[in-house]
Amino acid sequence: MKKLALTIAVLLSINISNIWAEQNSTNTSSVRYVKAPRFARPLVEKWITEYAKTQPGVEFQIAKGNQNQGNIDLNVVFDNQEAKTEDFCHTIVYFGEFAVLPITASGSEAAKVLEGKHLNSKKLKQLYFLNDDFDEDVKKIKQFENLVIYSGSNATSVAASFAHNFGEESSNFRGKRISGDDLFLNTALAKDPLGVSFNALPNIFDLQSRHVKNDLTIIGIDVKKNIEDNFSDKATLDELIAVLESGKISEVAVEKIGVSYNQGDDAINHFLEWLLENGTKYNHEYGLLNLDNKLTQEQIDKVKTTLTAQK
Amino acid sequence: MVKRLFIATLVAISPLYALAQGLITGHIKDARNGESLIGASVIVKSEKGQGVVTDYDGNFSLQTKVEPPLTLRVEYVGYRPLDVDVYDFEEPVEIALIDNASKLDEVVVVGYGAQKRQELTSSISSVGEELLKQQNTSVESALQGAVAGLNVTTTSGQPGAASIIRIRGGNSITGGNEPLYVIDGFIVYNDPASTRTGAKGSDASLDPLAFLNPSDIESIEVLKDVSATAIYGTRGANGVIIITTKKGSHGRNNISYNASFGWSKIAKKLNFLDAWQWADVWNELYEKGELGYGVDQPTATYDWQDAALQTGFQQEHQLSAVGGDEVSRYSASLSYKSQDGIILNTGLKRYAGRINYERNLFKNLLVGVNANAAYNKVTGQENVNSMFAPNNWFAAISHTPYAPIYNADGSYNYEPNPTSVDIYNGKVGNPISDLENTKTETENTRIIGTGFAEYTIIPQLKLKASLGADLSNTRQSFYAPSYTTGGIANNGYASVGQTKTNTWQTEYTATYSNVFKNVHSLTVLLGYTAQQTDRSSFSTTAHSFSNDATGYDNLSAAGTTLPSTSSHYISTLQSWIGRVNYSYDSRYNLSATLRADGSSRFAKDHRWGYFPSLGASWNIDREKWLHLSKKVDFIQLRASVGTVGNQEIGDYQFAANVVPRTVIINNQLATSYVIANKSNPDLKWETTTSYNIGLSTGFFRNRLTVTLDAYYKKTSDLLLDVPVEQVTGFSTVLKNVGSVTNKGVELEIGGVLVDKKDLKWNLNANIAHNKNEVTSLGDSESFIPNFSSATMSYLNPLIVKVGEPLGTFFGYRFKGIIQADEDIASLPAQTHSTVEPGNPKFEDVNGDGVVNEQDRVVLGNIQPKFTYGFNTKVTYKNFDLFISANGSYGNKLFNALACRLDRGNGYYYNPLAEVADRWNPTNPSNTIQKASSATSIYTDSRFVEDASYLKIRNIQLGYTLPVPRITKDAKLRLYVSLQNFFTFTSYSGYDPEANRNGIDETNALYQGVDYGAYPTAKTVLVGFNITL
Repeated sequence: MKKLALTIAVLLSINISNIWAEQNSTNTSSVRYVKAPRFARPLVEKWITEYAKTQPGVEFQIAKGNQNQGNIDLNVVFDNQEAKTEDFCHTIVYFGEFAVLPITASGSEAAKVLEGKHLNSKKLKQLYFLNDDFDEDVKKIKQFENLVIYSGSNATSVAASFAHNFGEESSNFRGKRISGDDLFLNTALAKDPLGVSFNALPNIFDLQSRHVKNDLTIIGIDVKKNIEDNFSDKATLDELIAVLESGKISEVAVEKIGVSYNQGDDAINHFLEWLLENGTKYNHEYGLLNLDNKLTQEQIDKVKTTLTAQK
Repeated sequence: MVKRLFIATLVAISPLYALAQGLITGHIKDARNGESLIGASVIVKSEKGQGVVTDYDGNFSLQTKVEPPLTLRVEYVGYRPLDVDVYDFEEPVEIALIDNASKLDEVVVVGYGAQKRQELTSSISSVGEELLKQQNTSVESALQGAVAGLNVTTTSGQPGAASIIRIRGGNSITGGNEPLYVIDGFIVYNDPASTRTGAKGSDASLDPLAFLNPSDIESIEVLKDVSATAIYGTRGANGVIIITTKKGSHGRNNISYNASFGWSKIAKKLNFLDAWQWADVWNELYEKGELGYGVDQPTATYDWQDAALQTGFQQEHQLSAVGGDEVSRYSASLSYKSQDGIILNTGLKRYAGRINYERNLFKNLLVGVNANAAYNKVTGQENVNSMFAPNNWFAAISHTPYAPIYNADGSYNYEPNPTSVDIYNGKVGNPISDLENTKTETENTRIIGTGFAEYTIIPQLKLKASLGADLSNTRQSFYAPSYTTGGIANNGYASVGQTKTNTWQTEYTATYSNVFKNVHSLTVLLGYTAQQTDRSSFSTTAHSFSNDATGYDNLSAAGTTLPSTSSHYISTLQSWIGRVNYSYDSRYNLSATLRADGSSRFAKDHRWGYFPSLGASWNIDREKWLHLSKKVDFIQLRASVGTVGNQEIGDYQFAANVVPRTVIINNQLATSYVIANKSNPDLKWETTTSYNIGLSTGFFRNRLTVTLDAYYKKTSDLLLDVPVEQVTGFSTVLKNVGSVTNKGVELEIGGVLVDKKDLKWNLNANIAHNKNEVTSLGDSESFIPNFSSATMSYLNPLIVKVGEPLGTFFGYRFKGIIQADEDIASLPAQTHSTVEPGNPKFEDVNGDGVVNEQDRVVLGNIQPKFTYGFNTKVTYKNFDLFISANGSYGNKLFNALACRLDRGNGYYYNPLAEVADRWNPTNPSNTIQKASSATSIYTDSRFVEDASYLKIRNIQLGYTLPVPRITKDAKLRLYVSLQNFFTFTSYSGYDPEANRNGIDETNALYQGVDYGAYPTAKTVLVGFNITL
């Protein structure tokens, strides 16, 4: 019994030591930490793996949880994110775009209410936001009133992008706020049959099968007939990306995604140079859109200018 | 053994246990402006008792044993509570709360307390926050166009001059019509007498509210109907304006510095004859006329109007600090203002300071002080310049352009010219030199301070005691040196005077407030208050100085000192107040008020007056049986009735005053005493009975609010001098005989048109109509106010007449110019103007064949058909644009300046430029009469002009730059403002708001006369504000 007690104590102590050691080890200066919303993490992990093959001396890691909050070297941010951090020592380079689509849980009450509907911008505004009653153009749709909107409230949520696309503020969403990664919006929908939300494509599609996740359904939006299927559950991720890259659709929020970083770190500048030249080819695979060539070139020049200036 | 195992396990897992507890971090901010919210409460809903409050930066950190997902409840006073489902603790929780921007949830300051706007039964308007945030030049300028039914008339462009303020029209004929002010709980009657001393010389009276820096004001509430004003009893009849200065906030400290710099120019100039045109008039009239000599053709013309003007530079600096900790809060400011007028040697200097401090000494005892102090110095102009010039400005603009202003060496020209009348030792005054060298100063030092203690016996019952003082000291100094027009006849002329007005106020109130069974809300207020005013003044005038070196600083240097005057009055008011507010389910609201006032201003049997009011409101939108559109948030019907009084009739008017008179007995001067007036022991309050119905509404989540009010007020027992039989030894006696009514409607609309993060657009507009009518003057039908003490003494352009409003003009009806081919014999004779070609002709109203005083008729009045105002603010990202405007339609003004200067008499002055187009046999004008040497003038319809106007008061463009690297709240705002830049009017004088009669600009009897008013300036202002 005595031995058992000792064993438990030792094992638990080791466990704690491991946690402590892990936390301490993350403070070593050779590691660069990348913070990213979950939908972008698989892509970032891919970069890290691929970059390690070419530059084995520099280690990049994804910062998880609250760890290393004060020691983030690269921050994946959105173009109109409310807490954007570009100042005299931080800058942002964009590597792609993400798209946000309205969703609900498949087979839910909400899905039934919205089935067969092709919502235009005004109707989407009515559905998702506290109504601006000065806008008399659209008659109230009573069925919408019972639906519960779930929106993310964290800084890394795509809520602001979705709201801004309709000229709204993220504080103006109807319904309930959730805190946590946007992936949990899907969880919230699973719990509430009247729940309606939105999410970035990597959170809507199964990146393996390239189809919409089984428990989700895309809310129909008002698009041309020939591309209607691309905005339904019949869509495949690659076709949808192709449509979105071919032209702006007003009902779909598309936002640039980039990396905020400290220009003073040469290793990071080199990483970004690699990223823009070699890393963006994984965008589609991980559910993101590519920037147009002109914009990509601008980003490359931006990083190169920084590198030249430092030399 | 088991024990050991337990201990070992406990030791081992205790650190783990701590780690297993979830740590939620986050930040709470205001959804609209992104500012962090300090002290917001955050609780885990399923975990009773687990909660924290946000820190100074709006951050929180919360340990919880509950596994995600969990729900956080976030609450903050003034904001809508929010539930947030937290699914992981990985990211800090960002929560944006939306404030209760609904106007209905606002608490409105009312007399002796505060009330929810939703439960109001009275008509109360708040001056918009945006208006108060602007760089306002005075308290009155912040009120201009701000509220329906509040009419502010800027009568003079003199920096620091008083304005005329009326709420829902004027009630009194001879008494005061100014509203009552309550400044941080201290009752202040804006009595112009407190800044006058009896000293001669000053043309403008200092604004009694000049001691308040407009930037220090947090809120202004205008109490318009009797349900709101009855709590002020004898002083509530003219409406009440409650001013609250800025208070500190708990847990946040800021310091800010504001600097502004401005340049002012005259908004509009008048055109006068040039030297050649003037010489034409002169020679036409006098070369072959009564004087028999002409003037040579001039070689140059001199613009005296331009010479009297300057670009006035102004600057203002204010340093203020606000803040507090958990138990106390403070707000303090210091400011300096220097403003040059647009007329030479006029301006204003102000040093002001303010402090508000409150502290919870104990949990249930709050004590505090509010103090405002200021020193103001107004440099004005002399009020009498010469025979026909009411002031230096008038003397300058009407000076003949034939005479040079300066000598060749740049010194002033004091040589007589053909028009000079006041020649002494071969010299005359020079109006520009008069402006430059005559000293006319009014200095006022004023401190208003109150201290209070509020004791909460039980949460529902609060006792409050306060003691305050208003100490005001005004000194007026005037010196016209021996070479100026005012001093040339007497070898220097000086006058000094001082008025000291000290008011003490003490106030004790008990407020019980409770909600029974969730639906019965009851608030009861009881209180006692007393106020004593002690005013003393003296003034002395002296002349014949041996030299100009010391002026008014040493009157003993004067050869002659005129009899000095002094006075001393003490008046006391003590009052009991009571109010009950009851609200059932916020649906039916009732308010009953009673104030008993005892005033020493009245005879013993009439000292006490009782002023009740009753108000009710019905929030129709809360009725369940009524199915309103979702767009409608609020519909409230209000009605009120009550009686209030006006004690602003002067001190001790009921008593027979015994006054000294100098008489000559046996060729010796002796002092005797005479009874100056007949006593009237029945003299009592002027009372106003008032009815109000109103509708307040809110639509689209209260983004659109519309308020409509209609009222009827009857003021009776007005004080008037009533003729009495000669056997009494007096011609008149003061009696309560008159009555006046005011009825009108008011509409206020407020809208938040756009409310996006980057773009916001607000608009407020109001319009009001008031019909004023004199309904009784006792046995008399009318009387004509006597302007005998003014420079326009023989011109009495106004009449007070039953059936007409106050400020009614009375004179001849102009029918055109008599033309050469007209049949003169068929025209009626005119007692005041010869019937001959080129002269004006007037209507023989009674058809008796002669136009005389019996043919004078009502020519219009000063009352506007409606007044309106609007202001709008657009904010786009860091830019903000604010525009405010107000106007008046249908009001008339007697253009006495044109009446004097439009007649083509070049002898005493220079006429207006239009006289160049005067009638002559070859130019048969039907509007401008021929040149005339007659000096007498009379009121006729030509000069009762339409003074409707629309003024764009302020256009301000600002840019705010957050500088979070200095402090979290740090920001820098840069702004440029155009003030009074655009005026749309058909009035031909300087300014359609002008009001200068030379007697008393605030007195209802003499309003509506523009005779040499200080012209209005337009100003460009640039400034910056740094907040740290």
